[in-house]
Amino acid sequence: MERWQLITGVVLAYLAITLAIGLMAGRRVTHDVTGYVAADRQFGLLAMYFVIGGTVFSAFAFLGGPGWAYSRGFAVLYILSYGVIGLAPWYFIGPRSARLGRARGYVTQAQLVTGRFPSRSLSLLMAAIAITAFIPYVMIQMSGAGIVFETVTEGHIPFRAGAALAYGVVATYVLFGGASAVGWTNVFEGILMVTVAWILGLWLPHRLYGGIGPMFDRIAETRPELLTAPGLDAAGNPWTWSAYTTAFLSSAIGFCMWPHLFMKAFTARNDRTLRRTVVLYPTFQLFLIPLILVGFAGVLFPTHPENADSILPHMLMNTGMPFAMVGLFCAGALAASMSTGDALLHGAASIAVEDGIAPFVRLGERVRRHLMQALVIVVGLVAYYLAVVKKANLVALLLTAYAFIDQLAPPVYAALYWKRATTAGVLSGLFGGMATAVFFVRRPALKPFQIHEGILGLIVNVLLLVVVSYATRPQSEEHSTAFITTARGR
Amino acid sequence: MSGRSARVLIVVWGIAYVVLLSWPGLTLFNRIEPKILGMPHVMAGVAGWLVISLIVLIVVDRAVSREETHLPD
Repeated sequence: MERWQLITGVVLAYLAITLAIGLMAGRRVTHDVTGYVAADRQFGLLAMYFVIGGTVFSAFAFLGGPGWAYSRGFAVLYILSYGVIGLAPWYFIGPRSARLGRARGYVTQAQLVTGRFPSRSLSLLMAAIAITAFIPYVMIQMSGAGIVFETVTEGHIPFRAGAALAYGVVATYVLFGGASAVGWTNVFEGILMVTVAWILGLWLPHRLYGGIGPMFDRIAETRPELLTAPGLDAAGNPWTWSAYTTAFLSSAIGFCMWPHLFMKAFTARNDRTLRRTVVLYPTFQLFLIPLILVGFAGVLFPTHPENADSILPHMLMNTGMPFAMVGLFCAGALAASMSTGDALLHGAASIAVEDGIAPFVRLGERVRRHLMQALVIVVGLVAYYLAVVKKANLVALLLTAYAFIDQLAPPVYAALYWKRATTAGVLSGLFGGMATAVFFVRRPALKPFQIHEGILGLIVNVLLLVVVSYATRPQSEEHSTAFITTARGR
Repeated sequence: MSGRSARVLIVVWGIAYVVLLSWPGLTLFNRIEPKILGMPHVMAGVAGWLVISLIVLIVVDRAVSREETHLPD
């Protein structure tokens, strides 16, 4: 049997196990909307820990993390840094949102915000932001799966077929199992990707340089500019501190606002589970360290890939690694891609129905669930078409996505904490913030001091929120107090 | 530690986090030597701060949980 066939065998075994776990998990929940979208609010600590870690760390972390270290040096430290502080607010807003979810039946972020600020336009706008941001994100995951298959099978399984195979499995278990399938497959995928990352991160520097210390000694002699912050920009010139710091801040603020991640607050069994997930999250974040080490191992590697993001598979294919190891890497990278892609497909379908359609058309539970299942397939096919057939420009799309997601933070915090905020204030802030972010994404040369477009949008967003809220009539005391009191739980 | 002190601690930790891991705090340990566990000083510093963060979050969570279950400090 040829080497690529053995590697494919390992990967197919991984896909079969994932599919089986997903299908079995889906049988344990009820068939109503809460069952499909929020797994009957029954996730314990194990599932929540891996759902959050698996959802956060995507194909981008597994391939892009080493790619950043390899090409931009310690610019990558901002990626290592922002996650823990980004999730920390969830320690407070997660339980508050979950209490409102239990009391009022919310299963999405927009339901929570429009529960406080009743507006169908706001619901539709938030759904549009989420789905616009999700599609390029799913596309990146699909491309990651396609690249991994094509590279490790030396082209025998082409990019299109690899992406279709991995995402055929994802769509199947999301379709039948909903949030429960996403959760329990993420436990398996999370364990696999973390294990593979640590093995590779410790093994490659030893194999190539005799250890981590000797590897950095050699890089310090030849490429010292890579080993101090803020590292290099995409063109290889020194990055600025303002760009580094605002990229860090923008990512930290937007981190727990991603709607597919935020809505996992509604899946937790209780407040304590949510809080402990945040407390334990730094242990997951540390798994970026081996991936960064892998990237640095590529700096002095004798050959170089065309694309920095392919440095990890490139080294694996050129270091004479045993087939089982390459197969495991492939499974680990696919796990990273799929554990994010599944939450995105599930989130996009759930949000489209609950926030985009249900506020306008009266639909029964059964119809809503069937509509979500149909949309899982539609979103998957659209993303596949754009990513694999049309090969759209992902980087530009994703930049817009991150800048958009930051703009969801003011509405969420205002809903949970600020009594004086009004619907008009939130809507105008969101519109203004998005318009500003889009403007600077399209005209990067006009950004003052290279400040991240998400931060520039947030400045406008918060200003408009405050000014318009004070300029408009306050919400009724009874409405805002009841909402905030339910969130507080006392 | 009381629940109130825990909330103060988490705010102080959050501010220290942002200052230390971006400009200007990161410039305080932005060098290659001395290496720690083979890693350049600045990378080990960031990793070390993540470990400290884990400890801070555990301490805060214990205090908040104790307060919730109404046990004396």
